[in-house]
Amino acid sequence: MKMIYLLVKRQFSEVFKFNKIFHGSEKEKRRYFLIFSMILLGIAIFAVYWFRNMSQISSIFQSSQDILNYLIKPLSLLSMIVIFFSALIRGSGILYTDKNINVYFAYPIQTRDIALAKLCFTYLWGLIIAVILLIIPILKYEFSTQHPLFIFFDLFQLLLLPAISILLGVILGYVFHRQMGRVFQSGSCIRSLLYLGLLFCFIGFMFFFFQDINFNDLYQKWFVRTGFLNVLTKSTFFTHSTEAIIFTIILFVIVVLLAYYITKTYKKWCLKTQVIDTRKKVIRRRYQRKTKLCSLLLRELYRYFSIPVYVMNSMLGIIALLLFTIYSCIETENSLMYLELFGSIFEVKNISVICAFVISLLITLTNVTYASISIEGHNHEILKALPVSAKEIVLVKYLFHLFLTVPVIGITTIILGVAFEMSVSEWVLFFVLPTVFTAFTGMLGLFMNLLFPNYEWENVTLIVKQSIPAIFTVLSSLFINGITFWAVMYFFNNSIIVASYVLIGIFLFLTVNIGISLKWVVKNL
Amino acid sequence: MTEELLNHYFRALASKTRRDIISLLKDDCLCAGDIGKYFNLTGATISHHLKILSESNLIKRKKVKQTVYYSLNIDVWNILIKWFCEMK
Repeated sequence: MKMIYLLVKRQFSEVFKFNKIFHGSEKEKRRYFLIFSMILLGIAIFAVYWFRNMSQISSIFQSSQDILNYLIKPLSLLSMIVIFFSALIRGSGILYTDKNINVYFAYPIQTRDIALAKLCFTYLWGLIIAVILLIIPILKYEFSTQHPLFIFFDLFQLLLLPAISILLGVILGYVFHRQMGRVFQSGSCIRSLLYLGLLFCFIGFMFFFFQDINFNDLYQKWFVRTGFLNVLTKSTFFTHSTEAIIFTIILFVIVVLLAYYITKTYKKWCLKTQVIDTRKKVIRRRYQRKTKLCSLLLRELYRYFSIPVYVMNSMLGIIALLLFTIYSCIETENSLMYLELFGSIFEVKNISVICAFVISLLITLTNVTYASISIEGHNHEILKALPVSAKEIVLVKYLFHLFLTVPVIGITTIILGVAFEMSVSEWVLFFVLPTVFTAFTGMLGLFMNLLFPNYEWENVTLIVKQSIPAIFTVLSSLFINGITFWAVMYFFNNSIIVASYVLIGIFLFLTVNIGISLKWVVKNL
Repeated sequence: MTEELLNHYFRALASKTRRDIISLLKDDCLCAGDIGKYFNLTGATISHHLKILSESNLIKRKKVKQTVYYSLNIDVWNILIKWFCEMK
């Protein structure tokens, strides 16, 4: 037990970086202390809000049976689903894709203890979810039933509830990872593209079909008529009946058996996962004679598509733009109606200018330059040794950003220009305005990244999502663009085309100026 | 006229805002922006009501370049009037 406790403690330190607070440098200590304080404050505010609301909701119900039927049963089901998916995605990762697992195996620790410690850590996460969702309704229920003996039994069931979801999620997560590993063996580029496809389908579904789903009908058909909810929770959890006791004992036995199965197969499965991950790293590349610029551009392209987090984080604008284009082609009249209603707020009659503003804002969401310098990591020293100047590297990174966004703007211009029957001047504006804005945001991102580079990252998420250049660039570009569009529509609604062309000139001037000032910060490369 | 169609029409008419939109379109063809000016509602709400009315065929829309004009669908209204007369 002591070993399991130590391993769980180590797992906590590893995931939540507690070591940085206790054993880091002064700078790290201060930084992590601030981050943890902010997180704790956020959690405290959320907890007060959540438990207060849950308490109010629970007090609405008159009888204990109502609390059970309308609050505890659906929330039990919800917590089981959430915990299951959490274990499927995150839990199986903690168990089977730990990079330090070989170090654990090398220590004189039993495999059973390692597996149980990791399961305990995952289980604690699930238990937190279950407690957050269920503790208030269960306490209310216990007080209203006036069966004090059952309170311990119900709390035991609450402890058991996440265990079964966690164990099933972990096993299925491993199977899923193994099957997907076979698909992704040809390289991580395909993985990025598949993730991108999934994201496109998901946003497309939310965009086109989600509004038509009648959730009330769905709930009635699937849960009430089929009795799925009752089958799962009737006479089982928290009902204070003999069936509940029998069911709990059966469930406990299943949990023990599943945990035993996982501990027995743990080492074998870990090694199989390692084999799959090693195969994934094999990337086939063709070596051909190319120009310096072309080689650097291809290097950027390969690297970009081989980091799924980077792709997913920066492709949102392009995906949204493509979906908007598809929607506008299929539902031209609806699309025009939305734009017209938006234009009527500012009394702007020209729809194509508003559409160009919308496209400019959407394309702002796609920016790869804010992390393109930091992403070099420790390689930036090697890069310096190559016969490539810093100017060329920066130029290539900027060109890569334009290479991603400008063709999409071009395609959108052609399609929407035909769909909205635009005149030549509108067509030109439709292409030039978003292009200038993407050029501006790209340059801004590059400037910020050169100003605050971070080559010491351990996880790519740190520079893609949490770095100062990432946060500042996205927020400032959206803010600048949004404010500018608002000002143009508000003050120049009668001569909006002329004002838009002036705006292009101003942003072009700003882009060139930031580009010139890059020479002051390029020394950070 | 089927019961389903009737349900469709009356569901579309079961809102004061939608009835007000129909009153506006009684004499004139209007675009969405002009309709929106008469109501103290957000663009999203207006577009939702216009969509329901269009789907129920009580109003029809016509695209002229970049503007979509809404007007009453006289054929459907004639059928409805006929149904009311039969009920008398």
